[in-house]
Amino acid sequence: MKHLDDDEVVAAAVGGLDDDVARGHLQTCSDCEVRVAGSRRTVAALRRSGEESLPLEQPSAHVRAAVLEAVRPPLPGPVLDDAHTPLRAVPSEVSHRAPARRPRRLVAASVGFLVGVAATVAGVLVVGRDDPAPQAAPTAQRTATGVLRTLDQTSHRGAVSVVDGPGGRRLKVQMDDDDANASNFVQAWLLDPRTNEMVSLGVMEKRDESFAIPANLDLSVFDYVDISLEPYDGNPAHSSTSLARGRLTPTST
Amino acid sequence: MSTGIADDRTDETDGDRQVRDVGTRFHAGDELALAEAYDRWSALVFSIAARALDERHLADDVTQQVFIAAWKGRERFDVTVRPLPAWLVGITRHLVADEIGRQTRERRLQRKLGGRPLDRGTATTDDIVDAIVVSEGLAQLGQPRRNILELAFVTGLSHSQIAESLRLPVGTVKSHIRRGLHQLRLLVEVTDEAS
Repeated sequence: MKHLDDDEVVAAAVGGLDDDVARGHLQTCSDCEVRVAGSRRTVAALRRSGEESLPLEQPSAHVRAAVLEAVRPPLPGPVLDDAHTPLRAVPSEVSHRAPARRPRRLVAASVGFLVGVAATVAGVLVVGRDDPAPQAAPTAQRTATGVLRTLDQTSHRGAVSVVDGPGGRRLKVQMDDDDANASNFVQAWLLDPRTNEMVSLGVMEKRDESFAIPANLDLSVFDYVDISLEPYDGNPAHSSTSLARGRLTPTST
Repeated sequence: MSTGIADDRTDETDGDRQVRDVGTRFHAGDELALAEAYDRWSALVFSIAARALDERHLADDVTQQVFIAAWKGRERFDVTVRPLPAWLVGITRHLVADEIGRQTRERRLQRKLGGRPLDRGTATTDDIVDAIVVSEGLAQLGQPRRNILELAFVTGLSHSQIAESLRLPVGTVKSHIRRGLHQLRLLVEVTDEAS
């Protein structure tokens, strides 16, 4: 038998389906029944919603950047968020602890996962200490590079590279501009975007700097460089003001 | 076109075509389509979440999660089944329901611990979201379709009364009602697709 057409579905939803054949079909056809039920629910909602139609509101401005940033790198796990996400530093002699500024209730379910990852990272760090130091290359070699951009990806801010030499690995940072001023300095960090854990590398005294990378740090985990603007407030934590960020991509040799 | 099950494109508007185009590119993994989808429908998603949850920061979080979940699940999105905004609203509905469920559990726990009972029955969650979704969906419809649906279902005029007051042929009025109700129905009917 023929299914109800859209006009008949509308008619059935408002109780005005007069055609006996169509009514008989509706008794036996679950597809049509579903369509009629959906239309009935829609009409009921329409009648209820008549007076409460308010203008749409916009979400906070940071959400857009967070969404676009989250989908850019093909990373598994939690979202790489914008500056509003609490950043947590890895306990180590070169890093500082950052407080969780804004607990996010909706991601609470993933905390267990984050703790798991943190434990794994800590384990790697501890294990790494017992490993023999990798054979130092006779000459310095560039092993990874990256481009620094603002968090919204709209502006180029600089470039980074990892150089592996006799003295160990170093991160070279070249910023396009010097953002330091009377009340703020610029600091370089390595970031694991899956957990937002950060390791401080040091202060950018000028636009071009080079920092030693802790020997036991896994750059496939801490694969982002973050450049932050820090107030002279005596607080060693990340200020949550990120000037630029960039992913380190290993160079093919 | 006699089955009525397949989508009837004969009275598709320019707006419908643009929505379909964004959806097609979104499904194909075009990041620009994600940005465009966000710019077009983030206010819809946020407003639904904000009114159902009554807390802006939770609604921000839901909005962020909706678009990320939609992007991650984009291969499951089928533009021939429903338009992209309907799919986004479906995901919003899930996440809002999850959040309300969480709040209800929390309240139940508080009550057990001696707090005051404060129930928002979960049975009405769907009704709340339906009303919001449909009124927002209505606001997104182009004219004269929006006007026609309001006159038909909110004001309660007959097809010929609407045709007369808007100076349109009755057939055009019926076509807009059919098409508009179909569009809105897709918003309320979304089942488990992208959680």
